[in-house]
Amino acid sequence: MPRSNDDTRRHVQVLPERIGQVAGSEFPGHYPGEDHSWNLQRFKENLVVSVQRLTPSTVEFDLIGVDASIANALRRVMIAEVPTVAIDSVYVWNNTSIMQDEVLCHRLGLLPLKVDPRKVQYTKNPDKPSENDTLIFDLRVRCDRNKDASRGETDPRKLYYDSNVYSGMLEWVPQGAQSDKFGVNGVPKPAPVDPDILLVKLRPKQVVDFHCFARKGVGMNHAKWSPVATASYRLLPQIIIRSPIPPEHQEKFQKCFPPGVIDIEDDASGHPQCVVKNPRKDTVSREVLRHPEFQDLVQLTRIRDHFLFNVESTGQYNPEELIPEAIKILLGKITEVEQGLDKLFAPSAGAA
Amino acid sequence: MAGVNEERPLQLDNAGTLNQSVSTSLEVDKIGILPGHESDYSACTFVLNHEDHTLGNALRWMIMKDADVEFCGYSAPHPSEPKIHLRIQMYDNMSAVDCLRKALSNLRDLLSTVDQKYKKSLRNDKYIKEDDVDVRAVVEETLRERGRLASSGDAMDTS
Repeated sequence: MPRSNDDTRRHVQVLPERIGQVAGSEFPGHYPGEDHSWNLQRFKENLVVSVQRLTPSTVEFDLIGVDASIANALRRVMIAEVPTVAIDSVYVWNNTSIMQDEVLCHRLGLLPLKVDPRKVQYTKNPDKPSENDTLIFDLRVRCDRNKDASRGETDPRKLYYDSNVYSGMLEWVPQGAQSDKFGVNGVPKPAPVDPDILLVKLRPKQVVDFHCFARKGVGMNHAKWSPVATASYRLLPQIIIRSPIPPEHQEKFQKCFPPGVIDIEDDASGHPQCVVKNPRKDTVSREVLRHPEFQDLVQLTRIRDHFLFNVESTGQYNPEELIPEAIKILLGKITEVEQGLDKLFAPSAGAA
Repeated sequence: MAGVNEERPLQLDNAGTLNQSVSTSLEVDKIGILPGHESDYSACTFVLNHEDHTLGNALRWMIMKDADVEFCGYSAPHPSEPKIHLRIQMYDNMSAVDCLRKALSNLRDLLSTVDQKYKKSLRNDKYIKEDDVDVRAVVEETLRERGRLASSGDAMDTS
């Protein structure tokens, strides 16, 4: 059974000027007579993972019963080590727009591309691109005057053709057998996730002609490869009402918290009482601790091992796929270290 | 699961540190033991190359969950060197290497369990499924409320 939220060992104290009991102490030898060594069966019984909300771009879920180091590892891997494909090298054949080459190239690099990173390999040698590790995009736009525009027209969209360059104007150029792998059998054609990102504005006779190489990479090398817009967690707030709030202060008490956190309900004997309705909505502002009338009536805490994750994808992965991908990468790290240990203690290495 | 990470090629990171030995151009080993360890490996400092707090802290926690461990701590010696040091000291002259192996295996069990439970919740649980907030619609609505022309400026060029 998952543990109770009333278990004070799980509480991080939120005090007026400081926080208390931040670190957990459930290690072997800390509590006499208690066994806190690793136990997979016990972990399985206590662990709760519960998805709360899913949209096309975000997933929110609760992870209950793990240490902060595990939750933080998942968060860090999602941000910095889950790979995506992004434009990495650009050949500028022509650029007569007012934006400098390097600034426009940087903007191109930051575009999220709808390419499944699992179908692309890491580039071994950037000087020898291959169809397995590089996708090529062309951006060729020229702005012209619209001859049919009425005299005195000031709206650039009526006055010119292609005065705005959008991400959707990037054109994928299939190489080798790539056209059999992408854009067929339900695999989307490689293109920017959002077609309406404004890259640069042009005026008549200005031209941009860019040849872009998209490669697979990870967020630790450049943030453009990060598959998440945000990946964060917070601890579940827990508000403990120690003794009943006097009726004359109940409304004030309710207003110390965001709407929906505290409800005023009639108890069994018909007297109105403040009850905690939805602690999830609390921002833990500690406003309630400023008022002397609530001194000793209320205690603010957070549950140390109850993580509320919020993950927003930039579009390369579906949001619900990010956690499994992060776990795969962490498992890969573990395997790598194990293989390193095997190598270190292999008889031929003579390490012992 | 093997091969998820290995295929990533060697390259300069942002701090300009090459992930390989400059003198021999050989790829450095994943793990090593610093000189000065106990001869029976009951107390050693491991060097994990190309690892950071992500694995370091999780591994430290798992090792501390072992009742035979007297001390465990980790550090990142320098922010631009892609490595961590992991110190393990054991009770009763037990082997820190075995302890590390056990912790790695336990961490794998832990992560697999989280993965299973996550996928199960995604499959079976009832949760809110909804569309994203249409930012463009919200902006237009707000502008309309303020009495400004909503479509001026940044609407997509259809010409």
